[in-house]
Amino acid sequence: MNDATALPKVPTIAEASRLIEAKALSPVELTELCLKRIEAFDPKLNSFLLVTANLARKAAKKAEAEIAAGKRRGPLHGIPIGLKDIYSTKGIRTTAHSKVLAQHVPDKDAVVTAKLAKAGTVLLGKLATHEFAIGGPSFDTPWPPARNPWNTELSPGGSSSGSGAAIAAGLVLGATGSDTGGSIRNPSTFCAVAGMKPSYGLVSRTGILPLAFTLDHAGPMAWTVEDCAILLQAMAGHDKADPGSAKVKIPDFRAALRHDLKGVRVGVINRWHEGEHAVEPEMRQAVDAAVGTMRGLGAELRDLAMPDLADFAPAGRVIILTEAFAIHQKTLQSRYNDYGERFRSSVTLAALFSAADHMQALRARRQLIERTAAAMADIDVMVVAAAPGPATKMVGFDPDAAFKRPSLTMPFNLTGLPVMTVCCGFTGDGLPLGMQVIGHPFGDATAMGVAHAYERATVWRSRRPLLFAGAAMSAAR
Amino acid sequence: MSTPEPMPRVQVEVLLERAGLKLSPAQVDEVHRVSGYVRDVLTRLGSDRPMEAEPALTFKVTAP
Repeated sequence: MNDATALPKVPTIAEASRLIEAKALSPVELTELCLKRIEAFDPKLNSFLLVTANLARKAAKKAEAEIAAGKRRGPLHGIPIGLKDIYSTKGIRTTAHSKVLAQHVPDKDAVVTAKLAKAGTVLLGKLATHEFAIGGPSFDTPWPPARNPWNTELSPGGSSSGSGAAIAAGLVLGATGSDTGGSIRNPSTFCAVAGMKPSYGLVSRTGILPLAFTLDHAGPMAWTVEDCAILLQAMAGHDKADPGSAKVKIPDFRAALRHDLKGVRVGVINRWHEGEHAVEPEMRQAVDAAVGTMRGLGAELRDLAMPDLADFAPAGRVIILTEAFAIHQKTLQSRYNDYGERFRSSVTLAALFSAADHMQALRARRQLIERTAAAMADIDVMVVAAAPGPATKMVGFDPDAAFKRPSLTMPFNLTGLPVMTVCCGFTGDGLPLGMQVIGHPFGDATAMGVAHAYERATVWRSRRPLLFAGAAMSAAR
Repeated sequence: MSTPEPMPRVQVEVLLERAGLKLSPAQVDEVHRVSGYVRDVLTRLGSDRPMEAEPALTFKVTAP
């Protein structure tokens, strides 16, 4: 394999958009660069399940012609992206990374797929996911799991694993993810990318394969907060076909990005970093340093008395497993062994729950929403670590592991709050660390604005994984 | 943290059968082995809530 380190780096969406608008960069050139990088690096990363090169070239040429004719559609026109392979794509295989849907070709686009196409994006292909957005990495599905470009022996996180890996490696400029218990925020942390889990109801889920209706969110992932704002602008909006969709005014997310934090009240959930389920010391130090940076930008800091982290876990687990089981019950009855071990073993546990258990979980959720709202009454955003530590090894299924510590991300699926996840540093071994910035319901623009100010004040966006085609990859400045 | 005491095996078998799942004996063994975690989750979730504690609704009634 050729040495691909000589390949140019990809710009951010905002940079590429400016260059395309100024006719200093052609969508065709940019698409070809991404395709070359995919060819060079993805054999080791497995971030793509399907590369739609011919369609991408055709879309890039069309974008170039439209822009040349003065018909530029906006900041996403001509920008190459990938879609997590649970987003339906008309005429293009959509598998959920599962044998169960290995031959599934939808006859309709997901609403978000269509919106991103209308905005002029160039679809490079479909990205790896944990099977049906839960329970990876799996080694017994038809395609291998995605790997972390910072160290291919490590997990990229999930379930939006291919999205995180492909963005960090510069194979795409942006991607879609979904988040039912942390599936945007976890890979964003492990791969050092920016990931936005919007407020519940802000982004349509019509045409996205569901995991758990009560907790499912669709959202953007990219290299920077600004890029997520650009993507979210195209993705957000009411959809009458999605019963969870909210009729709210969509703000100008990019206009809300801030350069300082003067007067912003930031609540820090220190208690979730401590005690029985304490985060690792390097994660704690990174978040503490990030909070210090936010203070330097003018933020007013408060220690926040949120409910106990362990109070959220049972409700989240019962809802996610019960609803996933209900969705897959018929297929589990007839094709049990066509699912990967990780998926089927996790979801089967829902058979041990009763209807009353599910209702108790939904009642607990309402109580937690109210307790969280009370805790947030006097602050603008909350901050907490996005994971207990950096990426972990790619290991096989350990049924006990999932029960051993409560998730730092699930509370915001239960409460439906918007969360912008950003890189907040690196371990001594060069592995990324991440932080969640959480807003009030539909305070997505505020959370993104605060995260953007922090991101701009740090050097983390200048650091990318060092990639070698045909050789072992490692973390590097 | 050790694996918690599992639920009675017969209970696990009945619940899996009620769900319409056809598992191999080894797969039933594995569900049974981790079933204690499920019981712990439900214990922590609890059922002691005020009678008026409704679940959160995820829709709003709006004019067409």
